[in-house]
Amino acid sequence: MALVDVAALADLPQGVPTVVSVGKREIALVRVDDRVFALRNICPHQSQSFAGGVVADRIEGTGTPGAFTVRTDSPLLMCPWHHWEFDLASGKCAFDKKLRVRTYETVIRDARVFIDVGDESPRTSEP
Amino acid sequence: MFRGPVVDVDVHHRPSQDADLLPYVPERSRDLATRMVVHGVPLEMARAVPVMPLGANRLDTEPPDGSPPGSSYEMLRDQCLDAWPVARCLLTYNVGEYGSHLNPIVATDLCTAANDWNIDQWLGLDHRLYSGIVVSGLLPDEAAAEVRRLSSHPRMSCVIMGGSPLSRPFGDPLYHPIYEAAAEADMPVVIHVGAATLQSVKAVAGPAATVSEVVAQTCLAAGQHISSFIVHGVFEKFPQLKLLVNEFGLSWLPSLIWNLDRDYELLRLESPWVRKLPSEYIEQHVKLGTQPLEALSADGRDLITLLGTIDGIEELICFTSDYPHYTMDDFGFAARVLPKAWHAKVFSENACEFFGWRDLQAEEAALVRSVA
Repeated sequence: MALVDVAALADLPQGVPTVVSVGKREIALVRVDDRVFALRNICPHQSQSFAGGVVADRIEGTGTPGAFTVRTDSPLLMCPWHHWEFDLASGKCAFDKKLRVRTYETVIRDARVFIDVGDESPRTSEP
Repeated sequence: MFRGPVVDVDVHHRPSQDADLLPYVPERSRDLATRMVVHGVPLEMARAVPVMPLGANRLDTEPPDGSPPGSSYEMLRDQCLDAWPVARCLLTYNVGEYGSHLNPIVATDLCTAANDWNIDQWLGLDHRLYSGIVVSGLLPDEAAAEVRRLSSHPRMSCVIMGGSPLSRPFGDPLYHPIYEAAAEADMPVVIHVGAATLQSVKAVAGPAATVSEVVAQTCLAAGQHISSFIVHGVFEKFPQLKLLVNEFGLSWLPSLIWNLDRDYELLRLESPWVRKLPSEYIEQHVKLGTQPLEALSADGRDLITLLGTIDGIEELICFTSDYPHYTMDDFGFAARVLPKAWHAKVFSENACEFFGWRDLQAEEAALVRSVA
């Protein structure tokens, strides 16, 4: 674990990305209720920033035309450019599982947000 | 990465509110236009296609005051002109569908208002901003007069077909007075998704139900317009006339060319004034905006392989971002997808030549010399 203090929890608005720099990396922090997600701030589609994006519920088809479910337990980050959506926890693209944004573990201590930038291996699929 | 000045020939701008256009609406339509605004009827004709579920724009392009994306010069400058950076851009209104109103007087007068608003409010803001004369196809003689009224403006570089609710593709003889005026002024004609697809897409097999269908099928309209220009002999009648089609993508072009050339004998029978292969007319008169680049693979190899079947394709395409619409292409993305050998032409030279922007060509040549 290589924890880096990146923000005060109270400074993170709900449901919209806040971009911070950690070394040479830009990280998008997204607060949903009392959870904070951290993703590499590069959309794998056209390499744009997630700044200005929004959090969306996951809409899934059931296989029956006209029927779908809305899940609020696995929120998505929508890129502001072309509206591509990525799971906040895993970084996986909602419609193409081969695409993934690098995610980072977060820890909240004493109302501060820390991210672990020490593990680069398992979740990287950047352009 | 291409380091020269980028020319972007599809950047959308619009008034903060429809009421901003009212002072520019000719007297004969001003009362009606005012009432439309008061009652919330959009001056820019809403498209007869499904509505984008998440809106038609990039989420981060809406100005803080809530006015529509594309209405703030400062944001357009920061997010588009300075971001890449752009040496010159063609402002194309918010597609400019003023001319698509069914009432021909209203359609014509709203185009006039948009032109005068554009000159008065935008073109003086930045030396990189150029635009076009938007016209309606409904009253072609009045549209031609509008072209002649404004063609000497130094920042008006083309004629933009702002739509026609008639189910006639844009090569139809009905529209030829517009092209006569454009040719007289040595101005190219620009057509764009929206204004150029109002009837075409739904005419193919019935109205589309979803945006997905519309986006996938708009190329049909581009093929229809280009075919129409060829079969009606527009390029024979006006040999200097040039045509740019924006936001239809590129992948359909090989198919169109193959099919038109294949049936050349039929074409000559139906349109004996056609004296060249359709591919030759396209090569000599037509350019296409690059956006949306239909690259499926990350490096765009699939698209480039397909386009490579057209000899000299790099001469036919001009970079277009489509800022601030949500289907827009980032310059860096386009530079990664398009082969480096094409960059100078696609990102600058083709557009400069097409629009007659010789001053910019000279600046670029000087820049190249200084770097060398």
